[in-house]
Amino acid sequence: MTLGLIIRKEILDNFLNQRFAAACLVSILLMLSSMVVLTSSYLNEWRDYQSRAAMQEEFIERYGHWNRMQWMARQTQMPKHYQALVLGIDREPEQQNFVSNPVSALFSRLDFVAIVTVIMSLMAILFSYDAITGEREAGLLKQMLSMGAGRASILFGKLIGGTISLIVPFTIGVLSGILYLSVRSGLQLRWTDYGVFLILLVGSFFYISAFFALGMLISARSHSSGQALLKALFAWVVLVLFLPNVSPFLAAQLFRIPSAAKIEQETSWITSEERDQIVAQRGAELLRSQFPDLADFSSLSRNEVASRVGADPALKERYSQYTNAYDGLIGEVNRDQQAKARKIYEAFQAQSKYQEQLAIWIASLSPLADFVFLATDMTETGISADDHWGEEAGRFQQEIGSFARARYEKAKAENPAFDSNDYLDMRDRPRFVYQPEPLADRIARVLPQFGILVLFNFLFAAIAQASFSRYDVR
Amino acid sequence: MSPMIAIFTKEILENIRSYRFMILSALLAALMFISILVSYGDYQLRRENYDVLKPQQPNPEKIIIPPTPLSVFVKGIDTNLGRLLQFSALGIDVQLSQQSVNRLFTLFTVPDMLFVIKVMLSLMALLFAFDAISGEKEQGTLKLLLAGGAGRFNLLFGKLFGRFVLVFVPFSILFLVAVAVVSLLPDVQTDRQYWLKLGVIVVSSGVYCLSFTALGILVSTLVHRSATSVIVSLAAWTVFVFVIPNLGIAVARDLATVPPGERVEMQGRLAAIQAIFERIKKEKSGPDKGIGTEMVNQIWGAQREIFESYRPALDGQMRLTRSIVLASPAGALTFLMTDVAGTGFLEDQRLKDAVMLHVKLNFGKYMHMEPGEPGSFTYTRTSFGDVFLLSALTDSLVIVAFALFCIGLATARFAVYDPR
Repeated sequence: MTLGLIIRKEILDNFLNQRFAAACLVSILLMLSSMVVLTSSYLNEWRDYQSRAAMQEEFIERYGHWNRMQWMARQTQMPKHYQALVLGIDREPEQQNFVSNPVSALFSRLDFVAIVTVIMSLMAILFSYDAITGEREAGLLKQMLSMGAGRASILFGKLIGGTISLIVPFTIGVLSGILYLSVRSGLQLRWTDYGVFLILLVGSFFYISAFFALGMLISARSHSSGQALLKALFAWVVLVLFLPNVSPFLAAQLFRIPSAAKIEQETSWITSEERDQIVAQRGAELLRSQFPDLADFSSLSRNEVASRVGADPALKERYSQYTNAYDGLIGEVNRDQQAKARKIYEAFQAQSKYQEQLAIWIASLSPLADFVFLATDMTETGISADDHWGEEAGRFQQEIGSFARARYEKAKAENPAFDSNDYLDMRDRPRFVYQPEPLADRIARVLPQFGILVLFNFLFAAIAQASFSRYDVR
Repeated sequence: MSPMIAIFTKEILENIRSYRFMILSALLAALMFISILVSYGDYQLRRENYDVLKPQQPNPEKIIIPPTPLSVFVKGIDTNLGRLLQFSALGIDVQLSQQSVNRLFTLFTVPDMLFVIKVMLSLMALLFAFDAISGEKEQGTLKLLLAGGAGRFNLLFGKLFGRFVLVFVPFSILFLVAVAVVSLLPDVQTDRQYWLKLGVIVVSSGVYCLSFTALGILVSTLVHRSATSVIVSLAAWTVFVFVIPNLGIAVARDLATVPPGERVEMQGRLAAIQAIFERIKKEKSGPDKGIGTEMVNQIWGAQREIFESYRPALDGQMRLTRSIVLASPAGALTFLMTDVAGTGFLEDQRLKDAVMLHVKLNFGKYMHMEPGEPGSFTYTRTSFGDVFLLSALTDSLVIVAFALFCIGLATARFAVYDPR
């Protein structure tokens, strides 16, 4: 009963406070303005993507040929369905072309994730830092305890009431944004999209409440509101502004891997210069051991070889044996060298993956990173979606390659003069249709992040309770 | 001793042993230390990449510039500027092997010194200033100070400079230590421009810090309780440091659209395939010595056309971005510092122009379509003098104007402030 009363008191206190009105205003303004701008950008990008796809379609119809089919059918990434809310991994900053736009490499755009992670967490800290110390300074804490309210009821009443007071304006802001998205023409929202929005909203609640609990914890370990504010901001800066940003750099220092350029140089050397050296060495051995009678051929020009071979049929047969053996040797060396290069590349890929995973582990110490992973994985704008897109696009490249080869072979069988640079009618070729990861898989993927956010809530609330149980109320 | 100096001294003595000073200075020191550590590590990796990729012999078709040591402090877009570009008959190719394999870099912000200054220094300045007036009023000492003949002007400016010094002096000391350590490290080559640009970075940090101290004081004169003042100050900080720059970018990208990189890549690729396809077709219909040259010219014509149509759109977006983001001192500081360090948009534009000019001058020779040997690419980052005239002057004026505006408004407000 006491708990219910304190929750009610907190909510009423906050709802009548200017802070609540300000939080409502900020949430609605920011959410709406961000979603309006990002939706407009998304629709522009979508139109551009469609025109690109049409351009590619027209090009293949006009210039399609087997030799460069995979090059001309290469897929460009389509704008992400949820990017009006979550931008996630943006490939533009990597500037894959000489003529690329550097703006996004310097500044990031304000999306739902940025609003929740930075602004809402700061609001949670500002709503909670004086929850205990403020009552103590006003002399109300003593009164509440002397009137029989238990310490646990006070703490959890404030925690639950305060969190609800913050979540309500935030939800109003998000819902107004989602309402805008659902009435905006061109977006074509499906029912599953509303499921994704709901999961994002619930994830945000856990994220915001974790920071509220952190503010309460700090308040319960401080004796003045000024001190509590400084400590809370200290923790906020570390958890929100520093730890996630430092994580990839720290992982790169802790687990150093050779640069990709070095690996490329090494593998390129293995499959070119080293291969040539081995071929030369083993070719000389082949000549010495199995074809000593042809040893002097290595110093002859092609024309001289042709004239000597042409004049003697036995020599021609012998030379043919040698060239077959030599071709076999080249094939074998090529295979060995490519396997060697692949092994190095795969080891590098495994190391890179481990470094990325290490960065994720370090970043996960901050609720911000957990929420970012949750939001980006859920909206297919994160690392797993990036991997998924790469796999899908790679599969399509193989499919179109096989299709074009079959078409080319058919054309060649009908007309032996047909070559790989001749026009091929490819109108009935397979088209790239991106299949996003099923919603169930995405939900399963974000469960650990949900778990960590819930754990942060429990951890902060439990420490706050332990601290408040020994708190000197005088 | 004049009253202003007395108040200035009192502010420093009163705050220097405070819990606030200790905790914020410790946080600043820790963040700066970590920032320098990770930024130097990142610079070393980029330097290693450069050493691997740079042509060992003069090579006209390979274009790469080394990372600047100033990117340890202000990374900006230095990774993009240091890409290996390679030109051939098919156009200018970007070697992707320099890109980081760790995609977390694309999800989070770079924690370099610019980030520390833009975010932490401004936050510290506000946290030191938010209760300068309202705090004195709550304690009842404001009346006493005024009754003692301190004078409102002296009181305001004594507090402003006292609190500014409390934030900026520890920062400057830590920054200078960081600069000294970094400059002694291997791989870091210093010259006159390096020191001059670092000096500008310190001075602009000072003005930026002063502008946020003035903002804190202004908020303190607008309200009567410190609890309200801190909320309003942090709200203002959020708006200036996060909302305006990040929302401004989104608005600018939406209003001044630039074709996405993927469209540009596709246009170039398809133009090259078309030219090759047509060349082979012509070759089949009969030998002609000029077909190869025609193909190369066709590919380069298309590349130039893409660049020339893209560039005005990009320039327009950059201008709009700058105009919107300059509404915030944090945005102005980002432009100022990245341009001064040679890791910003200005350098990007200059480098792209220099590359295009190099290709234009050497392409014919490289493709043996013209007599003579092609020359190697040489590039020097923009000197401070040029940066100052092209962009830094405007950016620094914005920060100064913001500081003056806050100081002016705070003075006007405090003149009519009720100390009771």
